[in-house]
Amino acid sequence: MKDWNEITHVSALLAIICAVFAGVSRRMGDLILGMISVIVQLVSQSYGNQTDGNQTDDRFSSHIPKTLVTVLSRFNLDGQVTVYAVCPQCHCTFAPQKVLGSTKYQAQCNNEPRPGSGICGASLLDPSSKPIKTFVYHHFNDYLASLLSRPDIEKIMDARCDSMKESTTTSMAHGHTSDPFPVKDILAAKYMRTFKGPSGSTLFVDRPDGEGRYGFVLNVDFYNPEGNRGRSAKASCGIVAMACINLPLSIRYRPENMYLAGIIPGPHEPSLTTINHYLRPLITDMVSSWTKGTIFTRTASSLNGRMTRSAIIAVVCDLPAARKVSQLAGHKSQFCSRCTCYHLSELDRVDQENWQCRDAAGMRRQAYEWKNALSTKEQDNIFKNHGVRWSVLWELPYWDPTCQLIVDPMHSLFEGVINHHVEVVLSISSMTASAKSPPAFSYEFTQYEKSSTLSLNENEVRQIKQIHKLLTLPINDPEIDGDGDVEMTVGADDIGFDTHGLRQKLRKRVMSALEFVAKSLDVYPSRGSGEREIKKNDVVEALINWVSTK
Amino acid sequence: MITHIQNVIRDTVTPSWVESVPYNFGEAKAGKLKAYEWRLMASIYLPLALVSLWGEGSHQCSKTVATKLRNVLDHTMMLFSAVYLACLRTITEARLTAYHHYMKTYVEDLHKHHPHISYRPTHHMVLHLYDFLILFGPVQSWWCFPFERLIGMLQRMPNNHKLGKFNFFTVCSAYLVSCRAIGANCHNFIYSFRKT
Repeated sequence: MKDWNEITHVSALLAIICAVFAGVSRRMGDLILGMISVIVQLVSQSYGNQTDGNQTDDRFSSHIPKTLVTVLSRFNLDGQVTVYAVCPQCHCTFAPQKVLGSTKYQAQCNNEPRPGSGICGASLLDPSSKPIKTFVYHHFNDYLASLLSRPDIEKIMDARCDSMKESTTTSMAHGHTSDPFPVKDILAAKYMRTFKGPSGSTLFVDRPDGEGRYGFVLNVDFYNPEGNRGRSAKASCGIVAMACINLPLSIRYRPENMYLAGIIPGPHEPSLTTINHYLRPLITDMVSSWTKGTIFTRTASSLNGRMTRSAIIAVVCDLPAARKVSQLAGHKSQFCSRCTCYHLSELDRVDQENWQCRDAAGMRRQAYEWKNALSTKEQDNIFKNHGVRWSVLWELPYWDPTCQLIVDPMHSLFEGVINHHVEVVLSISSMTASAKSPPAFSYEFTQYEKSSTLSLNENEVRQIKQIHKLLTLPINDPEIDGDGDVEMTVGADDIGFDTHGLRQKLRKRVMSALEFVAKSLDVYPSRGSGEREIKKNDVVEALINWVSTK
Repeated sequence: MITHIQNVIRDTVTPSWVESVPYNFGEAKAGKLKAYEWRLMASIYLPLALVSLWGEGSHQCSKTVATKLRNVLDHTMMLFSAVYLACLRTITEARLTAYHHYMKTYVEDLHKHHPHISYRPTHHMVLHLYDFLILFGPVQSWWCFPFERLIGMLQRMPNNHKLGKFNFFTVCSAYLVSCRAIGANCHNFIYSFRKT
């Protein structure tokens, strides 16, 4: 910027402030710069005329940059990014090729999404030979360099590593192999205390020759770019972001310290294994940083450059995104990524001592088998038997989804269990209360089992459960209210349900289900009214009689 | 009941750094609560409201109802205590065991008190939180709040509403530019600019 004079500096600063704070677009930024240069030219002309006569002087205006992009790159604010072309069909990402100074993309997608499915072949470029869909990847090393170029930050990052290592070695010396409580930060917790570095013998935080060792948590999450208002357009794109755990909590999550690797373009979430394509650029950088190490030619503390190694310590996502990133079977079937609790029927298991941790080495083997499988059928078999697909994260030598794929407390506690408990279990909240009232009493109904003499289909089994629910609903009839001792007050002001309503609802159920419930309650009528055969109405009346005795 | 909770939300005096939850909680108009609001509900408002509704000194129409409600209350408080323990900034052995005990009992007894409720995957996952608390320490380091805030930032950035087109380049780079400007040594200048 040495060739710039004051006028150029001030106008460039104005453009930057407009871009950063006022959110001015590129086109408007260019307009502002253009107008400034016109004004400067006019001013210098009118004054030049008075002093020098006819000579026009564009000394000042010619130096003013023409575009916002130039200014941003001169101030080194634009960051190093690669724009990948994305296949609109199969989401495969293609890096640009430099040909004679200009960047070019290949014209067609040559990815084979599944073995034996043939090449995708979709066109990547629009008629003006620009990519139809793009994915912008901000280079990880560029981000790390920006952190390391700040003297205070670099010092903190290394100091926290050292203090942790010290505390580990002293506790080892005292013979405490287990975790010394209290734990105040992730660096002091058990995982980092046992996380081995690339050499395999020393801890990750043990820095040989002052090497930089930095840990990160990775987050992938999908959101609606049009906002969360009910009426706005529905779309979904995702972020790939990381935060550095070497920074203390107070500054770790400041926007300037977080790393946004890229935004997965919408309008729909990538399905199945296609998310791998968006993670690949980042993971490739992380793998080479782990195995070979990254040398920065200059950082704030060392002018002659230093070696760094970085690792993804944990992957923090909500359940659906976690399953996508790790490519494990969805949370609705084989729901647990940590233990072998397999089927939804095991959801209510609480014998945590007996839960078996899933075998990470085995999962790694299966993932590679999936990747190297020669046919779609083989892949499907592996997935069906083990619930594992190939995820690009397996390229990290240390990836262990049983530990590193974290259950997010925000989603599982607040939006999961508490939300569920308040809205569904207790039915506090008139939104749900109007639809479902809590039961007035509980009763141990005989559940239908396959071995029973009757064989019922799925629909009938479902209806039996519905009938059980209906029967235990509070009834607000005037004549029952008098002795309705058992009635709970939970949500009592939201009930608009009487015997007649119950009768109506019961009549809508199928006869076989009603018959089963009535028989199990021992109230099945011996004969219909007026010597007829037993009709649905009779069973319903019998059930209602049973309820009114409760 | 819902009115009582709304009264509690309205009448509770909270420190100014505690954000508010919708006063019309429970009505359709209030919308879905955010994760942070659920946290406030579970740690401040609901315990106050439910204890005064169902706890000692409350009036129920009969003894059976009173015991039943008391059991439901104890069960609910089990969950709230577990959540409180999980979110503390320091983890000790005693807190860990307490969390495990409360959460386990909560999940175990869910069917006992509410037989009509079916289990969800989260009920299993929260039990695993215990393992992760041991492995990774306090939740502040590994929950999604900061990343959700980042998403909020991105949602507010101006874009051209053309999905999958070039807007991501601008969104990405706009984010980058603003972060770099702050990260560079012009901290004080920029923060003073923001305040004015």
